[in-house]
Amino acid sequence: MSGFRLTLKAPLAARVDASSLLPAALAGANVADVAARSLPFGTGTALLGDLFAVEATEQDGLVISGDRRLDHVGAGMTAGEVRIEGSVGAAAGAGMSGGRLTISGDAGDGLAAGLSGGRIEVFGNAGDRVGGPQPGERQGMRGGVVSIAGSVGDGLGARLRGGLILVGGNAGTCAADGLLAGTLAIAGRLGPGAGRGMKRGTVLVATAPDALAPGFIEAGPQDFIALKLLARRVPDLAALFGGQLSGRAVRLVGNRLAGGEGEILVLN
Amino acid sequence: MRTRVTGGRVFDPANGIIDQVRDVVVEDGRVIADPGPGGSEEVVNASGCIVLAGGIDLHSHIAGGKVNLGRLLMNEDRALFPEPFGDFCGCGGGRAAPTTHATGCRYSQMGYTAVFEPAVVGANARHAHLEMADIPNIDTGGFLVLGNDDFLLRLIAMGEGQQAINDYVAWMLKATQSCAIKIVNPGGINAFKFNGRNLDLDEAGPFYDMTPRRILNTLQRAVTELGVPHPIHLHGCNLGIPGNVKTTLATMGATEGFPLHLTHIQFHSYGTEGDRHFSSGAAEIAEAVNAMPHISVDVGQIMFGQTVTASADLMSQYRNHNIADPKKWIGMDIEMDAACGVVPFNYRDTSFVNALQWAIGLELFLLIEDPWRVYLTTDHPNGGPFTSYPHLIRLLMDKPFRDHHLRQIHKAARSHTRLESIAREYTLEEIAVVTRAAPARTLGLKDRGHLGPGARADVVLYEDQADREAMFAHPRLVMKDGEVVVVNGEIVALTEGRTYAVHPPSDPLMDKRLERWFDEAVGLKSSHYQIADSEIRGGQGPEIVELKP
Repeated sequence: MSGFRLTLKAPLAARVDASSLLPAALAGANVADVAARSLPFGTGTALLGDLFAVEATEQDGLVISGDRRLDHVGAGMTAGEVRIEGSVGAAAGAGMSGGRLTISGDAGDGLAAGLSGGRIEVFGNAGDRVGGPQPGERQGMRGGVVSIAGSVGDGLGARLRGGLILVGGNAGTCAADGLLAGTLAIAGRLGPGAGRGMKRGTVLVATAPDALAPGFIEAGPQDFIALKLLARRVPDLAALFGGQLSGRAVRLVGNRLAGGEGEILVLN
Repeated sequence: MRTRVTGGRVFDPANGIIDQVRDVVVEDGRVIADPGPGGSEEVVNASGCIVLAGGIDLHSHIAGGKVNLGRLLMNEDRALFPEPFGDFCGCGGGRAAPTTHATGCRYSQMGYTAVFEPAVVGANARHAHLEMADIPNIDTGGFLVLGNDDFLLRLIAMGEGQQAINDYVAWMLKATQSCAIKIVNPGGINAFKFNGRNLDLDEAGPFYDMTPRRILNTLQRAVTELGVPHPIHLHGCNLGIPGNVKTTLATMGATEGFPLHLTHIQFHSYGTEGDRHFSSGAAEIAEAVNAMPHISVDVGQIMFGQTVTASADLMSQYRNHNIADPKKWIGMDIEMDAACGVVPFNYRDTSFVNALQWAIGLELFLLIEDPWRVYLTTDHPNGGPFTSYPHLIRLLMDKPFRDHHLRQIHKAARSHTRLESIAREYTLEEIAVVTRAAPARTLGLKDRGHLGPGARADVVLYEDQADREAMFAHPRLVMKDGEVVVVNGEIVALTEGRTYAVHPPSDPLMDKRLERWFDEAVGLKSSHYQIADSEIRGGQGPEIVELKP
């Protein structure tokens, strides 16, 4: 099996729904077939071949040039690999259950919404509601790993139900809003309102947040064997926090207004 | 431009034409008497097709506050059933709570050309009309919800007399540009305001000390005396409660001879027999309907799968909110005048209760003998999305198909229904009656639901196929007011429909009186509450339904 490289002919003049550009959907097609597919373009449709130059590649998977108007990249992917050269629009990787999505630039809002499996890596920044619920859903991301090298917008990990989100930079307001389970790890700073309505789960943060939502109580510094184990078993976490994952952390218990079974661990 | 639809088998029960091969000639949006050959005309070959008038759905929640909340709540429904991209669609979508655009497209794709919203709350009427104006390809109209509002209950409680009530009902119909009166749980919703949880037909409600029976009879008299064609459209008491068959029968017996339409009667036909204390009351209800020529019903058939229930009866919705699937719901008060509850629901054939509900609906369809008094509805979206009509039609027309589905449902439910012993299969004529001719007649729409000269040129061609579901899902051609809007089940054009209303006269003194009432009790001026003709359909104005003499 081989893959395709889709290179944008010009910057997109309208938003494109790229959710049909998945390795499984294009498997076995030839270049002409792929170019003849139609894509939702603005309020109408456009031929893929009119927007992108299509080449077959030896390597499996799809390589697509990015554009901030390219939405739903990798959405619903179950297997295979999609690599984006550049930035993308909203809802990248939404509802993905497997496979690997790599974005070399920035991602828009709704990255990894409702993710249940697979791996997403963003080398730039991401917008609001990373790992949140899909529209109409009651739970956010349920599984999988999302790794963002830069910063993210507001509402990181809202109603997160499972999985791991790693943020190299800062998080905006109201991170971990209504978090149900799963893990957020933030190497930078947490914006105000973090942990609002958080029920269970763990937030790992490198430095003490300025202002958490009401309902947290400090349980003092403790030695966590689990953190040492995590550092060994989860290389992503170890890489994000480097030497900070020694096992020692200040534990903030919360949100006690929503049951109080969650925790924010301040590593430093 | 004249169009001749030729060679089709015409089913036009309103004009006594059953399965006759004849031409239907259409000119300027109307059916005309056949002028014979000659002149320039476009010919549509209908050979191999059944020719029917456009479908009419008299009970489907398509506009107004509730269904819009349903759209907000069922966001994922829109993502699961998006509109296909193309020249005429590409926006909106959804099935249980479709957007206005999708509502119009999906209905006309099945050959429907008129749909009525059966629960317009006065405070939401303007919104409902704006939404109806947004629905393409179908004509619309709204039924005004009365029977729990303080002004009416006060009039009755103070013994003001029938004339005052009639004036008020007439004023409200015109103010909200509605075409009939709906009552939801008479007096019962008002009782909720005073901590009353339940109200039987002859139980006096709190505060106003008035029985549902009295409210019902007063409004029935008002509607009859005003000459509103459609009788009171009643959502009775105790919806969905086992044993409510008694309440329903009592309600039928309480009409004092006035005509009455009982809506989504499937939800009101439950007995308490059997070890699960839930059984079918369909036979008793059907027997009563058969014996009472002044009663008409629509079924509110439930169909398996995901839908959302939206009702002005907050109390019954509150009772159900724990079994919401997915687990979320909305309950709210509308301007302290009416209530509203939106609860998503997934009917499963593996559930005893749901399976029996499904069977009860079909029993009602098959046991009520006169098709002119039973209308095909799923109470969209409460019993199931309207897009399931072709499947429902096949269940009614095809006994082996019905039996096949009966064998799939919950075992215990199967032994609780007599569905298997019912041999009746609906004929094409009967389908034409329950989906077209009969709803037009009860709504007083003289130029709809038939193909005689003067009728609206809403003409539908269905290719005659053994698989009735496929047949009714994809008409070969649908004409709306003479314009072709659907070919082979696909939308080819969008047209604007019209909105029906009745304007019975009322005493000008009622204007003054309501101005005072609005100043005192409502956070709005009476003049702002009333919807002007120029507000309907972007200035087109309502189409006035003639009053009965």
